[in-house]
Amino acid sequence: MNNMEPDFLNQVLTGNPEAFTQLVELYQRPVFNLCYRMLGDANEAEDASQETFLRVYKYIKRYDHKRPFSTWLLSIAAHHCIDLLRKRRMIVVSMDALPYLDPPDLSPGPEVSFHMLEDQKRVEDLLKSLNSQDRAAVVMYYWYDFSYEEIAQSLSITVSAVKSRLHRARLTLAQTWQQQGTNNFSTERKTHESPAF
Amino acid sequence: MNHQPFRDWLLSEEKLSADQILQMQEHLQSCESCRQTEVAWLDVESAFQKIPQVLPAPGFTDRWQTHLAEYKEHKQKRAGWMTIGFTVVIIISLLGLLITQLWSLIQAPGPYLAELFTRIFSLVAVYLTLQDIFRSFSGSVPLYIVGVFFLLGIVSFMSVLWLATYRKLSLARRIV
Repeated sequence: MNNMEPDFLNQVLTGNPEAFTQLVELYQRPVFNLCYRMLGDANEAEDASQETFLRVYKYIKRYDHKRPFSTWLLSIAAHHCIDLLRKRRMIVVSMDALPYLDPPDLSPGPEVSFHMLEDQKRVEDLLKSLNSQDRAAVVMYYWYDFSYEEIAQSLSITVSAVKSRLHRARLTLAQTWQQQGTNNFSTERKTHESPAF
Repeated sequence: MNHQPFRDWLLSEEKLSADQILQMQEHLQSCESCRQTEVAWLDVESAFQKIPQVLPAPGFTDRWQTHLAEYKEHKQKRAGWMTIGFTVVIIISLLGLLITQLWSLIQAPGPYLAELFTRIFSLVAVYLTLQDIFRSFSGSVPLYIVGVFFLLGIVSFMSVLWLATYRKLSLARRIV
């Protein structure tokens, strides 16, 4: 994903529409996946991905050739998602109040699919426990194998800030995971408990 | 019990020294809270690795092309409105200027008419002076030199025009 042929990139930079369509075809999955991990909603992730490619189209001339193209592209997506999360927080709409749409293309078999969706949902809930910047750092680090330097460059923060954000995020994630486990356990117990108690 | 260094070590990706590993193992044996944190973090990492990549719904590129077409149309419309707006502003400004000028002319036409006649007379004077200069020049210089000079001027002008046109037409067109 990191290496894009220079000829192809030049065609994109000269404004060739076919080359840009190919670029969208090539990067739609990583961009959508990042937006989905950040926003936790398929419809919002779709809109955010479309907007990301539109921004890339508008600002392609500003692309610095020294940086890997994928890093630049995903940093645009991450920044856009961070903005959306900030706006969402300002509007004060609870994620739980929104209808949950199942993500597409996850259906190897009913039972496996069920477990996958359960894991998916649990990870989404975990990510929601982080603030937008920490979430972006975690997504880039664990799903895109970004280095500390790349994350720092993408989020416009220092490397030490990335390390401390990731450290804080790991602690929050572990604590939330423990809480989720406790909640699941207590719910399970309640369903099997005798009505007398 | 102080959990701080051990919790940091648990969640850090930095390599620990043999001594630190030993200390942490001893601490984990006696500390239930840190042990739970360790297990929880390992579970989280495993959950991260297990979940598959989420894919967009089919037809993403087609939707992108529609989106792009809408954007271009919107941009074109905006540019059109900007041009109209700019033209209107210029026309209004010119009209304003004209009205101001006309207003003062209507109020006091004398100075303006005097200025107008002065200008006309000065133009006539310049014309007459130039005529005199040309007459004296053509009297002293042979006619064929004037002709050659005139011809060279025309040839130079045409050459520059031809070069500029050639350069403009031979440049590669930008792909839109």
